Amino acid sequence: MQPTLDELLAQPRPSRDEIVNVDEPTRKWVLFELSGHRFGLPGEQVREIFSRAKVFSVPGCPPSMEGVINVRGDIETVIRPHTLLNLSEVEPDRASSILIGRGAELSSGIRVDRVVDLVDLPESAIHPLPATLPQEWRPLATGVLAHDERVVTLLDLAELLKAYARGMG
Amino acid sequence: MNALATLDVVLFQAAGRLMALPASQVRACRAGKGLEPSVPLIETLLATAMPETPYSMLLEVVTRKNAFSCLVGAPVTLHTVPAHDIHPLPPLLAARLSLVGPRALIVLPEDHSHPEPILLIDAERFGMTSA
Repeated sequence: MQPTLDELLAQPRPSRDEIVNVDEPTRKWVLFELSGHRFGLPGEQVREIFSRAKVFSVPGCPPSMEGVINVRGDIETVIRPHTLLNLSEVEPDRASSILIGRGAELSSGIRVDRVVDLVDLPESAIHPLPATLPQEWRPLATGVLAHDERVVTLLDLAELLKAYARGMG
Repeated sequence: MNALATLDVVLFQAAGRLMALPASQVRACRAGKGLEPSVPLIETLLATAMPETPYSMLLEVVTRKNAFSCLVGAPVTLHTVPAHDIHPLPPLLAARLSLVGPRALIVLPEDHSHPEPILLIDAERFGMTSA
């Protein structure tokens, strides 16, 4: 004799632990533009994004350092990575943002021309550096991916900040 | 607030900006007009080629090893700064700053008359001999 529907629904169900997750792990990326080129930083290296923030200049800074900002009591530098990446400078406008990031015990604000997207991407979406990648980007890049039919170069913020601290850019 | 929670600083103009020295490093301040030209300008000590300040005050600076004078821009004022408004130089700023002497940044509340960060100079870092 078949069980009734009530009896069927009352039966213990298989534990969720028995469900095998076949999804590929993903990683968050912050995608942005610098001088018309698209770049990405790992989400875990970007703490905050400011679309508007008062930047105070400090005498004696290199031209690629805009100055400092006050992030709720923490003083952070704001750098423009254009020179480090051998890109032409773009004057900050209403579309520009400051990414507050941390890597290799260094932290700083990074001025970007425009934040494009925040995305979750599987590891399989990331490809090795192509031979055509500019030489200046290679020590700072970890891979490339395609997004909106554009090539995005993924950067390691720790390497970028270390290079800047060494006097590059 | 106890004594360790504040720092007395002497504010002055240098390179067109407001800067500070710990008051403990300033022995005296007087009018600097008509002084012998051997007294260095503060910009010379800071190793900056930025536009000079009109000098009108002379600071007598004392460090653990030296005592010297330098010319700074007026006004020269004494302020007591809460410790929480004194910040270490951010690492990239410390790495790339071309000036000699900066040790920290004083960042006063935004509604203060000096909302811009003020470089706090440590005269011990000038490394000059007695002048």
